[in-house]
Parts: sequence; structure tokens; C-alpha cells
Amino acid sequence: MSISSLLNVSKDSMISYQLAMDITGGNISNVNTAGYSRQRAVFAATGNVNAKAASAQLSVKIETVERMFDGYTEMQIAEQSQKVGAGETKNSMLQRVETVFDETNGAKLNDVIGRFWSAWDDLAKRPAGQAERDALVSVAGEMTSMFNTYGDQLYSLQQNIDDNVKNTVAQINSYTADIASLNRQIGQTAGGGGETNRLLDERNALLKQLCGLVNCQYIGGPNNALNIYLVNGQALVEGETSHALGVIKGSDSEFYDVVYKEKAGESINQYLAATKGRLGALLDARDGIIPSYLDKIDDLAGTIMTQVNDIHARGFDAQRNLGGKFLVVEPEDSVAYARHLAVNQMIIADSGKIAASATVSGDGEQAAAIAALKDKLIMNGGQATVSSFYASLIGQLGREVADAGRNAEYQANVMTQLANQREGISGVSIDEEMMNLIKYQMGYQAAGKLCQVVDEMMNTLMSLVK
Amino acid sequence: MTIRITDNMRYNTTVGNLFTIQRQYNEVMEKLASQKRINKLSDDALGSSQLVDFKKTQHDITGYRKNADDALSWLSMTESTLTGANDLLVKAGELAVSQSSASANASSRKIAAQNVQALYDQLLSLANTKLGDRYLFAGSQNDAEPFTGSRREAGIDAPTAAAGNGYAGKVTAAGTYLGERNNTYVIKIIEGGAEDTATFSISRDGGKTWDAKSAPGAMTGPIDVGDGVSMTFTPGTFATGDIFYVNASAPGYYRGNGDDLSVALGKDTAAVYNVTGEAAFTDRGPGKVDVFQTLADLKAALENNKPGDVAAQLDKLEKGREQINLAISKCGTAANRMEMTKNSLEKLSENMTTMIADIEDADIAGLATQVAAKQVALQACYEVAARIQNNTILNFLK
Repeated sequence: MSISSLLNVSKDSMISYQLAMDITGGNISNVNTAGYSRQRAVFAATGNVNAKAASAQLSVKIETVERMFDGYTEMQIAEQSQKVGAGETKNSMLQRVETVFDETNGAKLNDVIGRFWSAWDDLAKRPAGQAERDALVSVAGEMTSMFNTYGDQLYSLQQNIDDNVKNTVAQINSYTADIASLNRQIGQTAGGGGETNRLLDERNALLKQLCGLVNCQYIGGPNNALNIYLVNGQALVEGETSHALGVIKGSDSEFYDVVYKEKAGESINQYLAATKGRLGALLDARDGIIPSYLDKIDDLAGTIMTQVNDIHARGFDAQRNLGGKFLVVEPEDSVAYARHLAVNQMIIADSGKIAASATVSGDGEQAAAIAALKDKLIMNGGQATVSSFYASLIGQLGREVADAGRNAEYQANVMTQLANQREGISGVSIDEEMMNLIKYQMGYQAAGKLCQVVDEMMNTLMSLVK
Repeated sequence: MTIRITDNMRYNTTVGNLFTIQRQYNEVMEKLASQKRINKLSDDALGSSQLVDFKKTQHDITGYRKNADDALSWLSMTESTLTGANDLLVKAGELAVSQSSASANASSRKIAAQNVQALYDQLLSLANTKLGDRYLFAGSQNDAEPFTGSRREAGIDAPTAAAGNGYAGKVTAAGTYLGERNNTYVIKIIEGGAEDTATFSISRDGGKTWDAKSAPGAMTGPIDVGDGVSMTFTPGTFATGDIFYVNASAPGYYRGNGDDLSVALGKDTAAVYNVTGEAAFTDRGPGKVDVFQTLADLKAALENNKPGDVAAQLDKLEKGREQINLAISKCGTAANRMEMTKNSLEKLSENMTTMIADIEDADIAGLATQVAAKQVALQACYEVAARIQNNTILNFLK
């Protein structure tokens, strides 16, 4: 073995340590980069010592730069992202429904319906009283506008969510396009090295964001590509190609259906599970949760309307005419009772048209019969009173919101744990990097010392020749 | 368990804990500020649902109490009016006693007759007393004064077409009323059309219950609505829902009807709170004395100077007083019932208020303790956050 080859050994190790320090520096600078996986220089010995130790050619090189990464944890995180996305969305949607029905603060529907019945009771005692009639018209107006407000708020929430569906689909498309383009870049720079690691991190972060939005599955493909599929098998990303989703308005619905763009017209709503990804939760809120509450207050408003009108139509008004409709929906054929409930214009114009009496002589009994509706089992097909129906609606909503809140919190906690697990594997620890820095610096210094020693050896050798 | 604790992990954990404690602190503060345990439905779903029920019940109770109060003022008005009527009859009795004696003469009886007329007028005005816009003694008939100044024979009023009717023709009533009490007959057009196609239905109780629909064409002739009353329509076009009614009265002074007025005092509980003029002042009441008729007879006897006839009214006046006193005691009974109901409703209302408070109101002392505890936790959390990077290897690399 020659002295000059010893110089080479020194050079190799100095280069290796410098590279290792570069990597450490990169880790330190990326300590706060989201989705960054720490990297590690893997040293490997080169050369060999022959059997009789007559010569040795040992040196070092950086064999590879390893990306510290656990595929299983990453997969769990991607899956958990779907649950977190869905849970958070459901929770925030339900909280908005809760605000609509907030009975805990001030005069809301329960109170105004109570006052509506009371106004009929007052009229029953003084059927000829103009003040009682006017008071009834006014409180009935309050009640109908309260119903309108509830209905409108729920309806506009639905429309709001519909816009959100459209935006979410656009975002999904942008993520899938980015992932496809990353697939291409990764394929081109294949063969390891820092650049690929950065791209992999970037793709991984995108995948998690995509999983937060949509129920999907993924699998590795050739050339290090990441292929992503919907649960019905349609591909979102396949190698370097991404397949976009789209929205179209269904023929029988005013809301968007999500479609696979290449097969436009075929709704894929059913494949977007409500519990996985924001898109599914949005569709569930728009088509399931909100309509169920809207139906309930429509039922309430519709039943109050038909029951009151039924009794009212059999009574006589102040002019001894038979009563017309007291409550109406505008337009007449609408079934969105809550949104369109109103007091009959004829009655607003002339409160004498309120048919308070069962006889032409003005006995007030019809008003008493309407006031007594408050305790009649007129809801749920004769199972519940108006008030108990509404109370159970409130109870159900409260439970659903509390459940959704707990679920969102739970999913977030699981996510935190998984994120910590990932941090434990892939996260950067400054302390550790500092230790590495010291270690590599020491190595570098030692290699430098080796060079110096070789130089001295060379000098010794040269002085022999003199 | 993870072995590597990275910097991000430390930050995330600290920030996460900080948020958790801040949220809890906020919740406690919200409850403390609002003094309410339930600020959102989801704070306590069952409680929120119960609150809806309880508040509705509370509202109902308030309504029933108001009903009882209204009925009580009606009853006390009725009672004092009837007491006044009783006093008038006492005075009439005194006059009758003195003028039926031999010491009275024609001229004193003339003067007494005028006195009786004055009593008669006063009684009439008492019997037509109104509370608000409702006559005390008219039953449910509220469109005319319940008592007239002079006796009427059995009669049928001119029929009325309701104001909003489509029919423009003329309706007349005819016949001799045979009914024993005052009544209102109503004809309702079921299917509109010309007189030979329209169909109708008759009600003999003011519109509460209806006969079966007539055959078409029955409107061309007089329609027998019952008890000797018939109505006749001139040809014309009827609109569906047109209403025609006619009041028929039995002989006497009374124009109201015998219907009870009632208020709701609870679920499915209604209480009658009126005394009809029929029961208090007419011969259809329990004493079978028409008070107005008796006074009129007394006056006539006095004018005609017939002491025998004057004495004959004494018994009737006494019976009339009894009849009125019976009505007064009925008022008393009803008022007692109202008072009792009111008291129990007040108890119930107090209970309801307590139950609502139990669900809704925050436990202030408990919350104050919690706030203190959360404050300590929050401060500790800030302390930790401030020290998060105090210990690192960097401190030792000089």
C-alpha cells in the first residue's frame, strides 16, 4: 500500500463527512418544514484488507442518503386524514344547524308557537275584540316568519354546502394533477438522492391533503409512481396521468352531483362515504342531515297549517262568513312549508276575517278549539303534540351535534398520535442533529489530521532521499 | 411508545394542550357569564329537549292562570250585578207589600207604579251590562242586547245574509216560531249555482252541527228550517259557502241564548264561567219566573189600582229573588273553583320554574371553583410553553 493512497483515504473521508454535514445542515434547516422526512447519510466502508495483512485498502464512502420514513404509519395517517376530514366537516355543518335551532337563547320557535296558541285562547274569551284579533294576526305573522327564517337558513346552508362541493372537487382535481406531475418528476430522477426524497415528501403531503378531501385508496406503481383510485375502481391518478372529477346538476335536483369527468352523467356520490373525506361529509350534510331537519320543520309547519285551517274553515268570522284559510303557503303547491308559510293576506288585511266562532252569534269556540290544538296529538301520525315533536327534534339535534363533536375530537386525537408517531420516525430533532454535527466534525478533523500525518510521512520519506 | 422526541413534537404537544385548556377555560367562562349551564343544544341534549317541554308547560300554565283571572273578573262582575238585581227586587217586594195593604190608595199606587218602572229600567240596564265588548248575560249570542224593554211574542227576525256572500238576491223568513228557547237557524250553500242547482245544508244550533246536504232544486221554494221557521230566496246565483241565518225568539224579554261560556283551565279541562240571562231572569230559569214580566205585571196592577193583583206578584218576586240568588251562588261556586285552580296553577308554576332552573341554571359556586382550577392549569401551560426550548444541547456548545 502506498502513502499516496493513504492521502486518498483521507480525501474520501473528508468528502464523506462534508456530505454528511451537508445532510445534517439540510435537516436542521427543515426542522419546521411540514411533511419533511429527515435524511441520514449512510456511511459504508470500501476496500479490503488481504488475508495476510500484507496490504490494506480501506476507505469510506456515503453509500446512500436514507429518507427516514415508515410506510405503514404514512398509510395510517392517510386513512386517518379521511376520517378527520369527514369528522370535522360533519361537526362544523351540524354546529351551523344547531345555531339555527338554538332554543337556549331568547325567544325562538317554541316560544312563538306557544304565544300563537295563547293568542287564540285570548280570542276565544273575547271573540269580538279587535285588539285580540290584531294581536293574533301579529303573533301569527311572527310565527310564520320564524318558520321562514328556520327554513331559509337551512336551505341557504344547503346551497352553501353545494358551492363547497364544487370547490372541493376543484381542489381534488388540483391535488391529483400535482400528484401526477410529481409522479413524472420522480420517475425521471429515479435512482435515489436528495432530489427524489424531496419530491417524495411533497407527494406524500399532497396525498394526505387529498385523503382529507375524498374517499380514495392508493397503491404504488411502476417507476415509483403513486396510483390513486376511488373506491369504485376509477383512477384519480395513474402514473403520470390524472383523471379529473366534475360536477353536474342532476335532472331532478337543484344540487350538484359529483361525476367522473370521463364518464360525465354518471353520479359517483354513492362512492363518497359520509365518514371518509370532506366531500362525502358535505354530500351527507347536504342530502341527509339538513333535509332531515328541514323535513321535520316542514312537517311541523305543514301540520299546524292544515290543522288550524281545518278548524278555521268550519268557523264563522266577524261578518258571519265561513272562515277561509288562516295560514297559507306561497306558492300554493309548495311543500317547503316552513320556508313559505304565511298568514293569509285576506286576514292580514282584515282581522275580522278570523273565524273565531262555531256559531253565527260569535261564541269564540272555534278559537278555543284551535288553542286546544297545543295539547292534541297531531304530529307523527297521532303520536305527539306539536311541542313534544319539537322537543324531540331539539333533543335529537343536540345529541347529533354532541356526537359529531366528540367524534371529531376523537379523530383529531388519533391523528395527533399518528402525527407524533410519524414525528418520532421522520421528524427532525435539533439535539440529535447537533450530536451528529459534532460527530461528523470530529470525523472531518480526524481525517484532516490523517492528511497532515501523511504529509509528515512524505516529508520523512523525502528527507531520506536527500 | 416513541423513543425519539423531536422539536416539532414538543411544540405540537404544548400548543395542543394549550388549546385544550383554553377551550375548557372558555367553556367555564361562558357558563359563568351567561349564568346558564346550557348555552348550546349540544351542551346537554336531553336537558335542551326537556327545556322545550317545560317551557311550553310553563307557558300553558301562565295562559291558564290568565284564563282563571279573566273568568274571575267576569264572575265578580256578574255577582255584583246580580246582587244589584236582587236589591232591586227586594225594593219592588217592599213596594208590593206596602201597596197591597189597605192603607195604600190609588194615588200612592200610581206613585209606586212609577217607582216600579224606575226599578224595571234599572234592572234592564243591569241585565244588559257589558264587560269589555261582551254582554254578561247574553250566553254566546253577542250581536244584540240580551234584554229588550218590552215583551215580545214568539217571533222570527228578518234573516241576514252574511256580508261576504256571492248571492245578491233577497231572502225572507216566514212562519210561526214554535221553539221554546231562542235559536239561530243557518243555511250554508254547499254547492253554488243557480237556485235550481245549488245545494245547501241547515244548522239548527247556530252553525255548530249541520244536516245532510239537500237535493239540488230545493232552493226554489220556501225552505223549512225547523220549528215552524221557513226561509225563501228570490231566484239568483249562489256561491259556495254563502251563509244565511235567522234568529227566532221564544216569547219574553230575552234575546240572548242559553249557551255556556267556558275557558280552558288545563289540558282538556274547561270551566263554565257565565250565567245566562235565561237562567237568571226568565221563566226558563230554575225558579220559572220571568222577572221582567213580574215587574211589568206589578206595575200594571199598581196602575190599575188592584191590590189583589199586587199581592199576587209578591210570591213571584220572592221566587225571582231566589232564582237570582241561585245564580249568585253559582257564581260563587265557579269563582271558588277558579281560585282553587289559580292557586294550584301558581304552585305548579313555581315547581316548573324550579325544574327549569335546575336544568338551565349554572352552579355558580362550582363554576367559580372550576375557573380557579382552569386558571392554574392555564398558567402552568404558559409556563411550560415559555420554557419549551430552555434545555437544549445548544446551551452547552460553546
